[in-house]
Amino acid sequence: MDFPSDQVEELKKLFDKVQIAEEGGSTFFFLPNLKLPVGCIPETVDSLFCPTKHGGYTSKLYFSEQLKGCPSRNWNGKFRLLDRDWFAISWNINQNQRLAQMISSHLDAFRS
Amino acid sequence: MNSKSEIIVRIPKEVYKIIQSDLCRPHDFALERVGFVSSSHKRLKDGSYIILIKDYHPVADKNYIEDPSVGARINSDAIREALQRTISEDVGVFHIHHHCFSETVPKFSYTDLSDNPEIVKSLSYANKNQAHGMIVTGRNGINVSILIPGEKEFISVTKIVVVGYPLQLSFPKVNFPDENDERYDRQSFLGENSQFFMENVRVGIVGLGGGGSHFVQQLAHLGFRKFVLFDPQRTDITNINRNVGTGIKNAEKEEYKIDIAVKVIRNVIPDADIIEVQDTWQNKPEKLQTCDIVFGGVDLFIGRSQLEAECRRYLIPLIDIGMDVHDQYENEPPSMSGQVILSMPGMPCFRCLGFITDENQKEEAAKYGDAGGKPQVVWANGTLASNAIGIGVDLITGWTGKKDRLIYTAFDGNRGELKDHIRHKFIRSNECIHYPIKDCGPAKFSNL
Repeated sequence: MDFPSDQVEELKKLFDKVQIAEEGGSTFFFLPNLKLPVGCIPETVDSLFCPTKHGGYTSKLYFSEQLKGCPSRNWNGKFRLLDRDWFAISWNINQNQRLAQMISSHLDAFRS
Repeated sequence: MNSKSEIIVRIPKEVYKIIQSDLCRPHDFALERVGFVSSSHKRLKDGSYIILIKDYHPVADKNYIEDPSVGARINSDAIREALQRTISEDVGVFHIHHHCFSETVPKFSYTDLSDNPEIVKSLSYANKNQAHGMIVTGRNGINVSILIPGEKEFISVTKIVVVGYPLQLSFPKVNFPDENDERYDRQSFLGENSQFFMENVRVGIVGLGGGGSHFVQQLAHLGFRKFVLFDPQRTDITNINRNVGTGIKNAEKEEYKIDIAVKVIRNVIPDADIIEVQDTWQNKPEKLQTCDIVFGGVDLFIGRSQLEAECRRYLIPLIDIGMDVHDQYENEPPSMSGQVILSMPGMPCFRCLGFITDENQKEEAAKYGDAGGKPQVVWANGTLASNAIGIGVDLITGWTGKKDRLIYTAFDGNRGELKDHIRHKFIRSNECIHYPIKDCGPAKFSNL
């Protein structure tokens, strides 16, 4: 799937090791060691960002493990995506945002 | 490698068709043609390997050398291209050719064994992280000899599967039995070696509830012997109405569903080879990856979506069933419906068929956490499971002679009808746009 090049460039600047893959017709951005909001345990986790509809949500941010130390959220199970296990919460965001803003909005769920 | 580890090679039918059509073309002077296929692989924790063939690369006419002493000889340009491919694309590369005279699983000829291993060793020197090898195809089977990473000797593979409808199965290390087992006399119409294939394929069953319990019972009676069973749940009294094999005592003791399924199988096949996974398949994905065919009896769209993605990635046909009961208009009886879908790698997936949509996933996500199970009854589950088993048997034996079937069967429980789903009419292509074959194998991420 094509995304605006300026937004992709912005992602590369913010996440220098960002990578991309596709599965089931969806595009995923792999964000290794994504820095999480203050208080989250662990402080960084590998994440997988799907900017389009996925699993019943308008976009989705998956984490390699469940987070602690932050506001408690509705973790809705373990997901097998791209050959790896991921965790995610039930969280919808405004879709009319740039890719980087969307990631930040997903992380808002974990800000105290 | 240890004594229990296996090497499984899977070739998508769409790639195999291209291979066959190229290798069977006449050449101006060479008696036969050769080519190369590229692959990815997965090494499992038990030392087994799954090799997934992704693409075919013919040798150009100009790269054959005229040598009447052999069927085909290729020049250094052809070999250099193959070497370059394994380095540039980080793929395994297999030399492949066809023996048109072979009636059974073909053997490598003296010439094959004297020349081709040197090419394969060169590929291995070029990329030590990939498995390389040589393949010979015949009219009724395929043989593969492989050099896996870290090994110096070639190994014969356990099983080769051309993944399509029907499956084309080759077991180079096992001979067909000389005598038929009289237990299966009444199903001998399924084909000369059908019992051999049913005994040697490994079947995965995900979910051992209303649908899965029928799967295990019927597969055992058919004579399947190799199972991987997945279910983390215990039974309770509410399972009595539909789980075949679950009696009142099992439910009162809250026995695990998997333990009951094992008893059902062993009652028919005492020495069955059963891998028990008392867990979700997501927690033991490698056990799923070894299966040649998977039967799915899972509840939710999100569960089906993940199972299909994993099966597509490892080129495994998935036969999924499900049923539901909906309230209709006032004074109307509830509506019972269900479906049986074959998700065949390379062919339309659940999403292509309109079975999984963004809308039904959104609706399901909105209901997440709602208490209570969906309505289920034994006859509907039995009808759907029996239909799925019939498809599975045809996939393995090819007894109906049907090819490349697209299966999306709708069940109308109120009328007691099974028929092609109306969405069949709207399928424009027999290919899948969501899971292209080139993406099979362990996930690879690309830099932006």
